[in-house]
Amino acid sequence: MIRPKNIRTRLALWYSGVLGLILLGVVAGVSLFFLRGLREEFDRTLTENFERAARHLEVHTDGTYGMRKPEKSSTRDFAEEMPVEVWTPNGDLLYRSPAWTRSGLGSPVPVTTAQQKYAIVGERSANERFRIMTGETSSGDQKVVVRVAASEERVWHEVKELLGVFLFIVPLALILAGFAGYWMAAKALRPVEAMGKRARDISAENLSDRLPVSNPDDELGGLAQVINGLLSRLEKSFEELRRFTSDASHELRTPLQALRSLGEVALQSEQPTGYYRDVISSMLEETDRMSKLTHSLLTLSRADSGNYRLQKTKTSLPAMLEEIRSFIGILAEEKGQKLTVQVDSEALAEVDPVIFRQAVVNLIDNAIKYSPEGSEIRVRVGADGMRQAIVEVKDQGIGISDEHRARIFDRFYRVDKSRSRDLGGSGLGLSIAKWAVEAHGGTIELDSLPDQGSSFRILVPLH
Amino acid sequence: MPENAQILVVEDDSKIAATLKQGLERESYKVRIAATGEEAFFLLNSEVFSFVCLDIMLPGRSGIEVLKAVRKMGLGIPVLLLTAKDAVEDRVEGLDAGADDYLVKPFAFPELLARIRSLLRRTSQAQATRFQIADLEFNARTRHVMRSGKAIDLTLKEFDLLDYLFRHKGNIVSREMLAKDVWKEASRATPLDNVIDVHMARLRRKIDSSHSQKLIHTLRGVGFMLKEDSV
Repeated sequence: MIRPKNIRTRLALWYSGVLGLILLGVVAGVSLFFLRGLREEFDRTLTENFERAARHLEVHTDGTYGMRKPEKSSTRDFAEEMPVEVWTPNGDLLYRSPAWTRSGLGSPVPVTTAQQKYAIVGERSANERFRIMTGETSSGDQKVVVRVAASEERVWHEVKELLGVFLFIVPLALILAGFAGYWMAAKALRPVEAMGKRARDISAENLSDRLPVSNPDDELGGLAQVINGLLSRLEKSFEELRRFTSDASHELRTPLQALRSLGEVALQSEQPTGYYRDVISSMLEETDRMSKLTHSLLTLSRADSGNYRLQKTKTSLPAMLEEIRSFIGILAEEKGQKLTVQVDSEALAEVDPVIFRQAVVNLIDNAIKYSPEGSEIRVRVGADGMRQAIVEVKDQGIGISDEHRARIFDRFYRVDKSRSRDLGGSGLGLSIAKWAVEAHGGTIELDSLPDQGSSFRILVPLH
Repeated sequence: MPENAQILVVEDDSKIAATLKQGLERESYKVRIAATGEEAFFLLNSEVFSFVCLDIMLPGRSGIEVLKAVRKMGLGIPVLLLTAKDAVEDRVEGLDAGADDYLVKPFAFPELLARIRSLLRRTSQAQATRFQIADLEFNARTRHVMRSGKAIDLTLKEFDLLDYLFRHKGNIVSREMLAKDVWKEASRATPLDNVIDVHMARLRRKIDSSHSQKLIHTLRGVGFMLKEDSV
């Protein structure tokens, strides 16, 4: 079956099709009703004619039957106009009027087979439809059967006329309906066309464009809003990606600049060997910084691609914290800081030990870096009921003010740029920690009061 | 260890290849360079090598294909993969294809040397337990460390560090090597370098501070070395 390509035509065709079916039903109903009405009327006349025929029935002296002639010649001869037959109840023909003979009805069913006393049936001659009423009556003491016929052609003619009118009106209505449907569908779909036209023009370069919303309350408006929402999210992640790429390039530019300057200056004039050793060492340090940065960038890009597969195993978080303390504690020791791990309760969590550990290590390392010498860093670990594990890292550092708090987990975001660089920070530690926790379905929260310290809290589901 | 072992370096970047050749020759290895997989294949068929450094991303046939062909030929020579990709799948692919080890670019040259040394002696040398350098004595089994006859008390990590330095005596040990081999950390998280530095500083204090002859040397930007005379 051929399917029209566009929705508009399809809608219009459906519309006309359904309307056509309804109209067909209506036409059939009306015609039947009309026919029945006309027939009732017709049959009433037929009954009257039957009664007249019965009244006009006369028996001649020779025993034959006939119709009484009208008394005045001005009135019409009943027997001439009306097809009448008279039969004996046994089925012998007693009389047949000339009109009957003319009608071409011939000699239909024997009268005896009629079940009812009175009956009206339809009958056809060669080219005419008749209705025949058959009934018993008596002439003198003799019982006879009288049949009166009348041509029904007028009735059918009227029905045909009515059908003719319908035949003219219905196709016209269907065509009109089709056009109206087409036009309405076009009107309804116009926003879609507008949306499509606009959507075709939207690419990565102009993601800030939005689809037109014709009416926010109808279905198409809703669709446009949904698509606009999608565009907003895309725009946001594109923007983040762009910022990340440009930030990453800038971050790489700094060590590159250092490398370049070191080399260029060293070659400016002849220098003693020790100087060159020194320069090369500096260059290698910068290279090291760059490799660590690219390592972190790759970790994040793998995280962004969304298909980082966590290797989860049941892990005791207090045991992990103890291990981390013995690993990183030496850095706190160097600064005369006290690093304590308080175990509130055992917490067996389903985590990827490498990734999750990195999140915790980054938080503790941050706390050590940004807290003054001699201060205390308190780590608490435990489970909150059966649902989630908590790891809290609390320091007595300078704290993080509100303006930085919102962006502290952003990539390359540093509260104090130069200080962070001196401490060897890449500005990625917290965003890696955040990703690592969120990859486990957890959250990371920050409470901080300037000058009183910060408290990072990791909440992660146990299962 | 055959010091004049012949090494095949398969690397398409001519600068890296030339540097590797120079560095390896300085360690008295004989070096041949192949810039493509086809060239590597030809050389492997015509000469005898005791070691192959194989870059994975090559023009034409990839390093993995070369590796598979080498193993198909039944050559059991150690192959070290050099790769810029460090996703787990990439490593697994390389090791499955028959590589003995891999190094992720950018790698430290001392680490490359260490890997080559360890792969070349893998079969021959038994694990030594007693070492000595100048007046520093080290027993890996009894965990005794003495300098000038006086016992030195080391923490577990300091002991592991010194053990590692002894096993690479006279060679540079990079922070990456320590991270991977002593701390068993696959990824180089930022604080690890600082942790290594602190442990190394403490170890040096215990070993060298009261002696005029320094044994643990730092090569800035490169790593550490255990050596009798100064670098």
